[in-house]
Amino acid sequence: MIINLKVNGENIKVEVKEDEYLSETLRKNGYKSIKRGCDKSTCGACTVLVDSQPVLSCSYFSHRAEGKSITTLEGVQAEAEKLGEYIVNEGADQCGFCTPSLALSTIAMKKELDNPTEEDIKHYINGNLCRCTGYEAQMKGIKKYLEVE
Amino acid sequence: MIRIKNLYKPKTVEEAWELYSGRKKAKLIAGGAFLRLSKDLYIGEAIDLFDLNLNGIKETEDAFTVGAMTSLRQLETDVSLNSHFNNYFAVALENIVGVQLRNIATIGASVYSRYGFSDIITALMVLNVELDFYKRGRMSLVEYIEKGLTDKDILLEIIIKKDIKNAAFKMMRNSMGDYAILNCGVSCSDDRYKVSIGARPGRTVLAEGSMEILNNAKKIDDKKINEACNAVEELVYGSNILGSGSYRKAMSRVLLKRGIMEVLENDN
Repeated sequence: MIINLKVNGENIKVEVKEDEYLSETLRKNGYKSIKRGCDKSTCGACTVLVDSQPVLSCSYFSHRAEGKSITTLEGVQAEAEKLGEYIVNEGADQCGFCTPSLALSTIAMKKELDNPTEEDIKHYINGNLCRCTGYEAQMKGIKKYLEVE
Repeated sequence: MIRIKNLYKPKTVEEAWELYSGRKKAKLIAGGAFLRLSKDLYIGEAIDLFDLNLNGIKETEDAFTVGAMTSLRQLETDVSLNSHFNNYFAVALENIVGVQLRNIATIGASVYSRYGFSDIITALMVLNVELDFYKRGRMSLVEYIEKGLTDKDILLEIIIKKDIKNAAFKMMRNSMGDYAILNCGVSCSDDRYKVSIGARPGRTVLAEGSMEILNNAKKIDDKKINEACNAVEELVYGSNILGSGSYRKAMSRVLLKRGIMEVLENDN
């Protein structure tokens, strides 16, 4: 079937299968920031924003995205670079596989939560697994980006 | 890998019912998140409920009516709901995997499927909750979780009555975002207690023995709490990859005690 998507502000028409997930659709249309880590709704590496809400694109059927506005890391480069700099300065960049999804979740959190506590941040990014860093340095970078104590 | 041969996307409940009732092996898809955990799944005919407009939380004088396609994240963040129940839903849901999954997973799918690992079912079991099915009409949540349905049906709404609002949710996880090894709901309204235990790993049950002890007690003191905790250990606990039956049994009294203490504290 053909569906209409608005990806990073650009309207596109794509052909998808009945059982196709959004991660596959977006990757094959060039949005390679989306990683397929676990492919089992666990690791968060495939995070995209659908109508500003973070979702696991590996578990979101493509046909459900008809007419919706989708944001990938490619669409928020300026914000992602700003956050990325804080993360790199804390030495939390490591392999970088999870960083695009972490950046999208953090950007969504910034819009959704006012002045979040460390506990709020932990709960919000809990679905973004990182196997390198142990999260402490990421937390420091995120707090600086969000300008919270 | 999931394979779907024929996909139907009805726009109305009537249309969904016509498709579902007329196809013996058709499967309903609500959130769809759990499908991803299946290793190899073939669905010949899938009916996606996504476009049915069953999404949202409506507040009336005596209840919150929650559409079956409402996401767990909506329940977690709904201000009116959490204000009435003292943040009970936020606490019960905030540890389920991550925000991204909770934006996909729906209350209707969790309830309808009677998942044993469900946190939301355990939380709802100690409140006054009714389900509204398209054909059967109203049914209590407790009866549905215990017996299920004999005929095909579509869950439309979950009606959460406002009368029982002092409730506590407790759980044990190996790490944030993992499945609960055990979970427990406790509520108290007009000195009547309800206790639910889930992720045993079997489906959630009311701990009738513990409830009887608490409800017959003239005063809830340490002795009565201990008796209720002894009774909760009498439930059936099984083993799976997350924990053994004997570990769950040992944890059950800990979670129950914490739950009772919290509702007592809320009362004061």
